[in-house]
Amino acid sequence: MPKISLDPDRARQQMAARQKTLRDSVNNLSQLDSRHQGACRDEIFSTDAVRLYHYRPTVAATIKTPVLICYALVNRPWVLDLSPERSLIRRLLDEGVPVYLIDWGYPTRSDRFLELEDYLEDYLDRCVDQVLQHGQCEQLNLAGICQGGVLSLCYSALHPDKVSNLITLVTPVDSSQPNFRLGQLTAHIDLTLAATAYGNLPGPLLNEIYHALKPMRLGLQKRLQAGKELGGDPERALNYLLMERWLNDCPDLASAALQEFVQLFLRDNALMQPEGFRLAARTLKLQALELPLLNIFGLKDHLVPAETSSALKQATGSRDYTELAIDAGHIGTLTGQKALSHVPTAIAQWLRQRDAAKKP
Amino acid sequence: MTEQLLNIMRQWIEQLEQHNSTDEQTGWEHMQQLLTAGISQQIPQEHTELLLKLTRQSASFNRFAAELLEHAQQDSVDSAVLLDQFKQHLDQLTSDWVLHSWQLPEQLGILMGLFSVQQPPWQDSLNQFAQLLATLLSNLQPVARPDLVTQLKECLCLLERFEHARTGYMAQLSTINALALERMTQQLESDAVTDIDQLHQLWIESYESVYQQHIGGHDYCVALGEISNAAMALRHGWQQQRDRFCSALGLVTDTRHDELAQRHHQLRRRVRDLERELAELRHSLQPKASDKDPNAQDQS
Repeated sequence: MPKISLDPDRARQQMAARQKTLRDSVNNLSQLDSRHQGACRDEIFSTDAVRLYHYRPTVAATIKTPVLICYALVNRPWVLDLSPERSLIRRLLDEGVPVYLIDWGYPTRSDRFLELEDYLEDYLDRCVDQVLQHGQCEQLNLAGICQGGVLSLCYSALHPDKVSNLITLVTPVDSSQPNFRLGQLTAHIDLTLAATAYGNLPGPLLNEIYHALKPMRLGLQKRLQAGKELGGDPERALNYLLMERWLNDCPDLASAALQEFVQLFLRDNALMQPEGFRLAARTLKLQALELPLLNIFGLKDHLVPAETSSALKQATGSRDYTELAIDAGHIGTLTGQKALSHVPTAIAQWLRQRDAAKKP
Repeated sequence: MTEQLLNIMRQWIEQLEQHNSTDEQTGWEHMQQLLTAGISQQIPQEHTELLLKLTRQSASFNRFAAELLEHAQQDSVDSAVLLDQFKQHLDQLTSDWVLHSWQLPEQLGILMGLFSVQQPPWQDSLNQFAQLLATLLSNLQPVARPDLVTQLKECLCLLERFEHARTGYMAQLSTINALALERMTQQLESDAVTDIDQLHQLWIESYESVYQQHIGGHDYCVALGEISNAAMALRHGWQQQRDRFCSALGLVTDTRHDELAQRHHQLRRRVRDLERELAELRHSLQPKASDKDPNAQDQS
């Protein structure tokens, strides 16, 4: 018979500690100004809901070729500049990297018919042209995050002349990996029905699916630890609040583009097909992709497991392929303290080496 | 945050600290009412929600710990009874979660509210509503217009499909709960737990390991797909009914609006293609222009 031999003194201590963190949390929440304050930036282009931002440099540029960050259509890109302490963008700026960012915005009901081709050949291509014009250069470095990494791979295959180097972060490439649960969980969901029933797929619904990947860790465990985060020092509490806000800031997804994305890249595993796949009236093959590639992924990523990302090595035809594995989860690879002490410097160094090699 | 709310929260925490269970419940309910009613417009929504979650969790942790302590003062806790209660509690949480995650169309929810005294998330109201609809259908069938009968039948079919899918999915989750408890029991047999935090952690570890194994299985994925599809089919069916009503009143339907948006996007693509062709043509003409004899241009 299993026994729970509770130590009464220890239990009382734990109860008291919990009351204390609750009291501290209430005090913190009543005093904190949790407004998001991002790095200085200028909007240089907009079309429909899409906005293109240029971040003001903080030091002299050490790299001539600018970096355009292409975020996922899922969630919002401000996680890359969550707070001054937790900001991939600020760290890149501090390394002298010129940074531009695409914000896809919030699709409206009439955007439900936007296809992947529209995102690639209209929005992304126009943003690229704007960056080239603004940065007065002929090529740029493209950095794609998660789903944005897949878009960046496709764009680089469509327009290799415009992309100098490609950086993929926490990007799903091989959906056939057995630990890629997202693909398995969504395998039986009727996407056509989703499009007719919802128009755009509601962001909160997608959040539920992410949550269903680890319900206890993302639910009970997180709530049990919330008091410690909120009751701690104000900076820690602020970062926790901002992260919570970001997690709940989930735009709806244009259903036609989502349908194509899931079919091509999750169900057909298109990026891994040697014969390529049809997109934007072209046949695209990753084997034909020869530009330098830096692939960054998290070893503890439950959303896009490391194996799903690292498969890019086999899929691409690039002879200049570099891999950077970070001991962090999906979001931790982008905003975690450990990652931020390492990833921006590694990106800047990798880009500087290739920038220098290009100079006549 | 208003002083009123802050004071209530502080009072409630003090009650928690004194372990006065009756007062604690009253204070908790009072505070929850204030938070949900949004008494203070100055509190950001996210702070209010976080406070709600935190206080609810603290109350539950405190209650659980107090019960364990009460048992512990007599002897070590009878795990069999505790685990049985825990299983019932988990199944209830699972049911709430499923109903919260796969919601009914808003209008249908409101309609159900008229026929049920129960508050959302609608526990057994769905069955009651389906029964009501079936009775209505059998009474109306001899006298109502055939198209109305057909629509009611469709609605009933979709509700039954949703209920069937919901039962199937909850059975999957219940199996996971049972297997996780079994694993937790095994762990408790080998390592005695003396600590409440440890007990929570053990549950999280046990649940996640079982869950990760289970959700990779075919049956779970099919059940998840079916509840998602059934909820979407119900929503779509309801929208079709609404479209019919709108059409009958001469109003623009969502479907018609969508058709216009689709045509708009098709036209945009056509314009984009034409612009690209034009740019290519201009590009191909550029070298010819530079090859031209400048004198010839002057003469034109």
